[in-house]
Amino acid sequence: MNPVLELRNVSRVHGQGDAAVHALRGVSLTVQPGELVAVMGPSGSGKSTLLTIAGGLDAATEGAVLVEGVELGPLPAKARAALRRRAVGYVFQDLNLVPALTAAENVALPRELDGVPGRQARADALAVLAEVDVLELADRFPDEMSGGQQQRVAIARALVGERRLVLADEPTGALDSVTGEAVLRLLRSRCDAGAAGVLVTHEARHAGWADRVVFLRDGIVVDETGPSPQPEQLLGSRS
Amino acid sequence: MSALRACLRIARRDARRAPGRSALVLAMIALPVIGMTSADILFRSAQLDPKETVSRDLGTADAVLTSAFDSRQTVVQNVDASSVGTTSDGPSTRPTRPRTAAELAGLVPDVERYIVEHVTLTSAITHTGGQHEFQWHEFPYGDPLATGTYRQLEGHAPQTAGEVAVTEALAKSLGVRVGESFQLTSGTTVRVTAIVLDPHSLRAQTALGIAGSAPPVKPDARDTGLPDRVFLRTRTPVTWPEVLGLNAHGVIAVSRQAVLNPPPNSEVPGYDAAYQRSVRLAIAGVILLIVGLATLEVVLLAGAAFAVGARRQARALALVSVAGGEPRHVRRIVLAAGLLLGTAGAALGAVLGTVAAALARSWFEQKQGKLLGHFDLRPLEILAVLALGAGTGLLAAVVPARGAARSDVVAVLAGRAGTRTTPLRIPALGVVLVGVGIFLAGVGEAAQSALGSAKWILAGTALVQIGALILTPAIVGLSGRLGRRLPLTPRLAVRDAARHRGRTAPAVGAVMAAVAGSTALAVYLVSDAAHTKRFYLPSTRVGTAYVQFAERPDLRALPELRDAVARELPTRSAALVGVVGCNSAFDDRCTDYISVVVPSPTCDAGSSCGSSAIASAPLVGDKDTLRALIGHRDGRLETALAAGKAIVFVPGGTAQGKATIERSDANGEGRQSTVPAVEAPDLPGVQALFPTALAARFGGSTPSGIFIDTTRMPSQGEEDRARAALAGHSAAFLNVERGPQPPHSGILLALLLGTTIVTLGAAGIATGLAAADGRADMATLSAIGAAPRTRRRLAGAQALTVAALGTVLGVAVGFVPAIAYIHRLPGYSIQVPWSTLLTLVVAVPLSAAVLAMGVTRSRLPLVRRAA
Repeated sequence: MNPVLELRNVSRVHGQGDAAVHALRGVSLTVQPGELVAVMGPSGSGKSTLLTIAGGLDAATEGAVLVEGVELGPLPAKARAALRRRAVGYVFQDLNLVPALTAAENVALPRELDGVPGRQARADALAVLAEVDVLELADRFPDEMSGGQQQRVAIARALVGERRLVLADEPTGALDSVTGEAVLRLLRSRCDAGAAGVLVTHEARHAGWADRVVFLRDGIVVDETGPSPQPEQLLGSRS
Repeated sequence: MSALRACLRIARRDARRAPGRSALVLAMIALPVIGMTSADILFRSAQLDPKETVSRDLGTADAVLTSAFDSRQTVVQNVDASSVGTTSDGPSTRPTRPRTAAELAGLVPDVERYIVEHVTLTSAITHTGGQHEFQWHEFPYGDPLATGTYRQLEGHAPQTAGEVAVTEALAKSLGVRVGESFQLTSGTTVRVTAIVLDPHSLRAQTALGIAGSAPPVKPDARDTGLPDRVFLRTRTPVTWPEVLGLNAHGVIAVSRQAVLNPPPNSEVPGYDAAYQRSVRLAIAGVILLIVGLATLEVVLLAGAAFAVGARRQARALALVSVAGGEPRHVRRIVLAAGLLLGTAGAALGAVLGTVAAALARSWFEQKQGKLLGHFDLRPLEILAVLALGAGTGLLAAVVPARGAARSDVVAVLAGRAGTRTTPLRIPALGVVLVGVGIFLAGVGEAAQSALGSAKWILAGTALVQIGALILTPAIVGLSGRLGRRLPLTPRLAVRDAARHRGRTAPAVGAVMAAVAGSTALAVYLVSDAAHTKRFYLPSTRVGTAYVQFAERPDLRALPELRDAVARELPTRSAALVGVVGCNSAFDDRCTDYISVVVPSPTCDAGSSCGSSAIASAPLVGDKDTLRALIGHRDGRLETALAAGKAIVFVPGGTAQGKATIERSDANGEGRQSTVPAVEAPDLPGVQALFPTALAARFGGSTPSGIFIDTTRMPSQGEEDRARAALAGHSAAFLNVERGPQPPHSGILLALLLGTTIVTLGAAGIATGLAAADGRADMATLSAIGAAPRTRRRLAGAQALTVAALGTVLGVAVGFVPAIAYIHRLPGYSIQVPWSTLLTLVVAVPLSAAVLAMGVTRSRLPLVRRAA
């Protein structure tokens, strides 16, 4: 099976000379279809940078990033944007949705930007909203929804159309624990249905939903583990 | 297509989500569109179409003929005779007087019938007892031939000689209504049967009576000397070649046929195509300048507002990028907002402008003094205005759209808000444009023709403005370096403005453009006022009232008349004056001109320099006359006058106790003689005062008028009452010398007001933008212990920075065209409108600061840690 996301020895340096900051140093990561990978690490460890590079929002200074087998490095910005429309979806901690658009319009946005006719885009959006159980929210604006509902809609948007890669950056950070769990359950179920997910979190119990956990510190992968990790033990001596 | 629809949807919803900002942009775009639309409709409505022209000028007649004053002359006229001239004298066999109506009608073949309009000048007693002069037209306006010329508002057309129809203006002046009567100055009573309206002149003081109804020339009326107008009904239309034939006979002719089917310009004698083109070009240039400046203002102001919008929706735009939006999509969202608000604002403006034009119609007619034609809405022109409005919105969004498309998505998502500081460069292009603009304005100053000069000055001004706009970011940046010594809040404000030149510069530019225009106009207006004042030639000493006789007065009634007039004015002293010899004011045989010979005039500008505005010869009078003339008693002069000496008021007019008097006849041949004289200080309008004994040497004295020295400037009411006291002496005119009048204060005020609004608006927008950007900074300030009022103070300082920079730059830029233009006007000197400029540079920015402080909440924000 071809991996949905592959990072090969990726480095990212901000600035130059003395002011240079190494956000990532030679990180390699592979995410297969149906797999949810959690990325953990303290603040400033490079978790978010890893996600922005994985989706082509930022470019690696060294190494290669492949999404669905396509290497992002040589792609022009336009093609990377097209890739985000068709292959990659993001979910952030909050404020994920364009406030001026309804839930259905938010979900349809990548499709419409891709030139899919409005009616078709809306049908796709409604289908995926139904899959994540929030079809009744279709015509609500973001400020008419709860935080959990907004995150569900964001996950729907991340999966609309042909997209199979969800990059989630602390998607439960702004939610209470019950709602947070529900959102993660949804993410898990979408991965079980065939999508690939990368979940950035700093809470070990959230990482429990993942198939694997990757630990980052100062931009370096310090450990990798299978299901049911013991992160407190692993990080305890260093944090 | 669906991507574009998505962009439009986001823009539309965002506009609705920020109603305040959208309303502001809408208003900014709608206001100039309202102005342009209503101006266009009113301008077009004021231009009568040929049908309206013939109806007003000709009624239903086929032609209207008017004789030239001298029927030997050849007339050169355009088709509707709105421009008429005469050329060389024609055959001497024709009479030099105007042709009579019958003679005119005889010049046209096939005349079926005709009516005549004859004008006399007459006067009547008003309801307040004053005397009022007006025109008496003998014209049967009720005749079918005249239908359309005068409009009857109420009553019926006069039937007998004792009946008249009067215009609304005259009815108001006389205080009469239909059915009431008024008295001519001789006592003859006239009954008003109708109120009419002259479409050509709403202010016309006209009475219309039947033929032969006009009061006799003495004592009620005076002949105006205006030739009669003859309205003809012909069996065949009068053609343009026939009009030209009539012109050759010294006749001005307006033909229905020619006006409705105008001949080609090549067949109109004296039509100067090049001149017409240059006039049209000049008008187009001025319109272009006004529209261009208005558009520039809106683009800059609305541009800043769009920048606020783009900054506030930065995260939403970043999310669009995250969802796969390309920079062009982001650009389109911001542009769509511009297009949307531009179109909506323009549509709103066009509708309101049309309504405004309809509402302002009668006001405009009163202002213009004539009736407009039909409501002339030209869809294509309104569409052009609409397109301009919509385009303005789009244009205003271009720079913010580019900025939004280039923003760093990751930084925005991380809450680092992407405040990119532009590198500080002095744009060479701006410097070059300002230089070339000043040079061109200089070329204009030196240009020979007024039109050519205006062209260069306009072009130069435009270049200086554009150059200054390009330089604005650099100047804003430089100002940041001057902030080092300022206290904390102004220092923060100046630094913030300099770091975010992208949003500060358009606001400063908007203020600059508005202030530059106002400055240029204000400098011109005060320089013009100073010029008028400097070269004002008073007819006599300022504050003096004088009555001039245009008719030989009844000598016995004169003292009584003097007292009657003096009673109504704040009189210090009043005296009768005569003039040496005969009085040419009412004596046609009086062709002599008697004057004081001044070998080497040494008069200053502003002095009358020996002109004799009051009479054609030295005045004659006694010590009372002298007192009324100079305004006080002067023992030396009174003694000299009693000793039979002339008092000469022209500097350098006497030598060794004598003055040279020249008497020239109609042929210009003069004889000189000397008289004993003393010199008195310069007195405008009067050359000399002779005692009666001395006047006897030059043919004695004839009454000339009354001089009234006043204790203060008479009010308009006093002047009117004094004029009424002259009633019955229809040929005596009262003048009050009020000195140069201060002009244009209304325009200056309007300019100041308009500029203030723009400045406050720009400062407000820039401050709002800074507040949106600076939330994190404020939170930091708050965290380190800044008092809540710091936020207010900072807002005030930011508004002050924008307003002060803009006004100072604007004043500098505005002086360029003002100096260039005024320099080429002979006799003008540059005057600085200090009060206006100080208000602009000091008071307006301070108001902007106070206003910004007033509307800013002092609570400091808490900024959540960004995800």
